[in-house]
Amino acid sequence: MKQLLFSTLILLAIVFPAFAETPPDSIPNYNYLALGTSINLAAAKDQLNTSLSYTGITFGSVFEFYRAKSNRLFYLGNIMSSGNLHPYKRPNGYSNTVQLISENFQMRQQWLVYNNSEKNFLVYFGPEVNFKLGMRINNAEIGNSGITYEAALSLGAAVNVDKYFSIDPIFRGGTPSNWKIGCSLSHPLLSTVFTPPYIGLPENLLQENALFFDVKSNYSTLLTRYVNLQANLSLTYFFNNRNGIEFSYLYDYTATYPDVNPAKTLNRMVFLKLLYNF
Amino acid sequence: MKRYKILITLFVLGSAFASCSKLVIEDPITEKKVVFEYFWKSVDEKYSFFELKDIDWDGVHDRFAPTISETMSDEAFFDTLSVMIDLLHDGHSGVTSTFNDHKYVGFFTRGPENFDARLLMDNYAHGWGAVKGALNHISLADGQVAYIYYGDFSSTITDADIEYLIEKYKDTKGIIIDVRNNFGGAVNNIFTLASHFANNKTLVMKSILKNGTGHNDFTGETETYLQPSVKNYAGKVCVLTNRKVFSAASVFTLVMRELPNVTVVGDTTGGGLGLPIGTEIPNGWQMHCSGSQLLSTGGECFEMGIPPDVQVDMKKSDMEKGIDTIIETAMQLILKEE
Repeated sequence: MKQLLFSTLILLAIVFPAFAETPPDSIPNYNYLALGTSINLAAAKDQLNTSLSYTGITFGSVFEFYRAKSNRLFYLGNIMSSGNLHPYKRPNGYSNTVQLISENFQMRQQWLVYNNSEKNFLVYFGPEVNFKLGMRINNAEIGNSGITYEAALSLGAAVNVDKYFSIDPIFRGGTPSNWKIGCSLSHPLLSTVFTPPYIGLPENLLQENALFFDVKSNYSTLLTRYVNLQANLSLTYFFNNRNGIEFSYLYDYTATYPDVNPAKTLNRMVFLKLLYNF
Repeated sequence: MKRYKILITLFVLGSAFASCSKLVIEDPITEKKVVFEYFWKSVDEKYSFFELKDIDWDGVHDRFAPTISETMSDEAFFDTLSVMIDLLHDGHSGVTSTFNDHKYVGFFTRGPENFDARLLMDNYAHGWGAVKGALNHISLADGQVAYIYYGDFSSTITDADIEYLIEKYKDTKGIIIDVRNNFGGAVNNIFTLASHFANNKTLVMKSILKNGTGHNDFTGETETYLQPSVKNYAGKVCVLTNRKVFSAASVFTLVMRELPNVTVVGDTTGGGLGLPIGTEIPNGWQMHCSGSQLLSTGGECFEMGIPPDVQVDMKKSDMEKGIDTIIETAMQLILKEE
């Protein structure tokens, strides 16, 4: 696994700087802080403690930092959300809640790989570091199996496509207009994933001050045993003072495949963000 | 043409995302034969005492599977699953439906009751006037013995509660900790209470957890040590038990019996030395059962009950006189000169 990690890092180190080119005048050059809230249509199914699918609405918050300079785009983002899910189609009228808590930290460094200055169309591509925690608290009569989770640290790839309706004030020297449509897609390539052990309880549970997480219960994988597809679509309006407001949709599908008890979570999140230019 | 391209792209993307949704969101299954098989398999793969109790779970399947039909009532189906899970003879096992709950309670009918709350209140506690947190307490034998009753490990106890009692009864020759009729609760209360009676870091138990689908798939042994608290009691300690001492209360007994100044008095506990785990089955009901084994420091499994150091039952003749035979035996042990 160490060889695999080393090879992947070498490959990324060789490939991504190759995209670097001399920037034309039309490439964006900005710093933005974004703060926002979200409403999420969420679903989860965790075979460790249920055979049922759960769905519901959760709420979240987002903090982001963008820095576009020269032909590079740096992104730092943190999304948190939580809320209650309920059994899908409630078999036999079954009423229960699963509290779903999600935390996702992402850091991307992308390079401009395509730039059509006539159409104000840019494509960035680059590596991403992603930490993701998903926790589910099931309130059913299932003993000590109520809490399940996955925590994953991943190195992945992300592509970002931006289409500006205009250039100025975002672009230097372009024609004035204030809109941007953007979309991004990311997926982990190499991941270390922490999941509960077979029965959901850590071996050290009966210790004084025991941790609930079992750090020994983890696995590393390439693409096959950890899926985290994140697809984002956004529409941004920039004010004359360069600050902005953004409306976006994030499709976030996570699946873990440990030796036993796979778990799947789907968050479909609608964000409203305020962008501060500095 | 350009618009069509955009629409086609959106349609393809939408279809792909919708497919992913189906990976997570599936319709529940309520066919009884399917539910039965899921239930049986869940127990088969998760339960931790098949070998110890010599349970033929395959035989249970063969016996009950033919009785399941889609036309049977939910009540009858629930009763069938309840009878099946009772065959584990485990107080941590049970079935919960949307209309009824079932738990195995046979563990406390394996011996006499050995506890009379009214006798205790009338003749020893005089109405339980003194309570510190979840701990009822009185002094006995002209102040030579302290008596503490802890009836539910779900009730939180704090270091401050116990330190108060240790200070109050510091001049006694011994403390009786009565956990009879305590069905268990939270594990952390075990350590909070027991740590005030340990003088050194002590190995108190071992545990193994199911780690695979086979009946004998377990992790290696994990040792549990008890760390002494800052303020400790140095005198003799008697822990009183009966068959209704179960789960966390049994674990407390397992821990305390390893301490050199502690004697367990009364009847064998009800056991319950496997941490309960569970799952929701496809029709929205739930099942739970033991998923681990807690062992003594010597590797023995007392799932069917921890034997006391001093076996004593409450005598009917004593009870008629308002005497709790088990408390009296513990007092004699404490007051006996070494």
